[in-house]
Amino acid sequence: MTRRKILSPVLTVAIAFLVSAAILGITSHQPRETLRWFFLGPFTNLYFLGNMLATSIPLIFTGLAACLAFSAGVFNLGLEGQHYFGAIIGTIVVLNVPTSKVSSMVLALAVSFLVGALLALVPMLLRVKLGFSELISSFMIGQVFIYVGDFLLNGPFRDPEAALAATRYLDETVVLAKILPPSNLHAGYLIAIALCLMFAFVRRRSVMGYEFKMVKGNPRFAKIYGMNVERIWLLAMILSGGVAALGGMVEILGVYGRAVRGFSHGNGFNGIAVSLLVRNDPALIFLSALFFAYLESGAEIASLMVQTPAEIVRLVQGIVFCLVTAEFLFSRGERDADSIA
Amino acid sequence: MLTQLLRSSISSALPITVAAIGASFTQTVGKLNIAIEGTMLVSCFVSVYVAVGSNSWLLGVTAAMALSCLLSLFVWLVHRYLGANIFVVGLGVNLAASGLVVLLSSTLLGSKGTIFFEEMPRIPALRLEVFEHNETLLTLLSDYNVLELTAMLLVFVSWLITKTPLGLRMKAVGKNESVARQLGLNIDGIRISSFIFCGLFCGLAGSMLSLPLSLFVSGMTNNRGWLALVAAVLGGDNPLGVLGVSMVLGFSVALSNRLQLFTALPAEIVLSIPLILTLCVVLIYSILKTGERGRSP
Repeated sequence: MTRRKILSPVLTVAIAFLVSAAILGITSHQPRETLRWFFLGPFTNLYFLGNMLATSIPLIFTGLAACLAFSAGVFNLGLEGQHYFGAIIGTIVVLNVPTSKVSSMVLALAVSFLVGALLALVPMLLRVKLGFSELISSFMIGQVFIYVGDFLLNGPFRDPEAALAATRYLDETVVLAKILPPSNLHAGYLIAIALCLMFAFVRRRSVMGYEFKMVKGNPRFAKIYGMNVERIWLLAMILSGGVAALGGMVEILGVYGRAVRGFSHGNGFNGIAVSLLVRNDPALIFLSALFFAYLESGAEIASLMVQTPAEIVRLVQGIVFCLVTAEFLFSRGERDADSIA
Repeated sequence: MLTQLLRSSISSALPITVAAIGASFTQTVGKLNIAIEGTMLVSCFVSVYVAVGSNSWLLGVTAAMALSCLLSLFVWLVHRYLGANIFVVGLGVNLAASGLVVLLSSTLLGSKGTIFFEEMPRIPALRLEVFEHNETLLTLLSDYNVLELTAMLLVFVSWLITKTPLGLRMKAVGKNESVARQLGLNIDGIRISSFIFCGLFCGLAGSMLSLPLSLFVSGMTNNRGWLALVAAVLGGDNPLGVLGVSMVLGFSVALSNRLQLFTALPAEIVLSIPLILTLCVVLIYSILKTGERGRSP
């Protein structure tokens, strides 16, 4: 990243902070107290700090998932559905198939990966075979399966003893190890970062990474050159959906211990911004995920300590989305505004 | 029963149609605006809030249209002058809108849930006395409110617009930007006007959802913006095509409303029915289209 390229995301982050501070200041009854908790809350003790890091784990996964799709020049707007539904199915399968401790964890991850990959594959097939934009169909298919997931949790697989729509708890041995108890930080953090670094390496050093780059840069040229563009698009989408779902499963294995209705609360969507904020550089995704987690934890702590509506986060995240691909300091005209990253 | 279903299909289809035609203008100039879900949601809120505050539905609709026009222009300006990706900005507006309306309704009206407005000004509706003796025709053709009538008029107007020089220029810009530029067209001006149309239409579409019911819920648009996008993409740059697709989608919305009322289907499944039916429409339409392409040499 050159210096000018760094300045743009920094400016985006700064504007996001200013706007959130302004909104909090206007809507809150005790603006000073609120702002203090919002900005400094996550650092006041190890518990809040660990929770903030834990909040960033699913975002790293979905950020990587978005990055995978963008790297081949396709859009995956179904991340939320893949993240949510994949994890729910993974949980349900493990709850109903008796296996040993290690194998049930592998089973959960494998099943969720497959389900997520399938949900992402369908919209891409629509694009490749029938020419309908994956942008809209991936969102709609994802949305349908969020409803289906809600239905499963509220209906057939609901734990009758639970007060909210959720499955039974997984066996206590089938959870990821905690790193910084009593906070939620768990071993999934390491898995997430390992996956990111792996993709960073693959992208830079392997034939597959080169193919991704070619297809993204100019699909027509890549096709004339003899590459199977459709296959690469499908592969990128499958990996994207799979990783998004893995993120959901890891979240359940590490934090919730069961599938709870609405546990993904926008992580899938935010993955897109997480990836774009660092210009789709997989090695830096953990940083932008941390920024999003910081916003979220700050707002959560602020709404806990002084009553503020937690919806502010969504507003601020939306603003980040609007600015995240903007280039504040570039000379106009040279770039194609439609290219991603 | 069937006529009532048809009638409610038309009523459900009209907001989708209007939003879809708005989106299809931006699609025509090659810059599909995917922020219409959020734009509609904001318009939903603004129209009822202003209408109740000023005791005039007309002011409510005007305010909603003005604001949604601004939002639509915002998308365009951030894309054009800050070089942001237009889809990502669109997502951002959708996300911000969903947070904003909850924030506004909880600070201005003190509730995050469903809000009913008691003193909502009545929206005039056109009753056709001619069909008084015929129950079926009366159900189908009478009692459309002013907003719905405006929507029907707008479909016709936008069909006319596609025939005007402006409409043809929009098409030219979308088909080949560099040729259009060499022909001396004002590309920025044409694109801005398409986004203004999009904003106005989405504003009306949003008010059509909330004003007649005189209530507001934060999930009010319920993915209708995305259905409209599908209609815009499938219908292409022909407003009548968009109308056709929207009618089918409107039917699926009406059907899911019926099912919610008259069967014991779980709410989650009922909510997903319009989306599933829309995906089926996409599938059938795309298969037919590729079939056509395959046959012609």
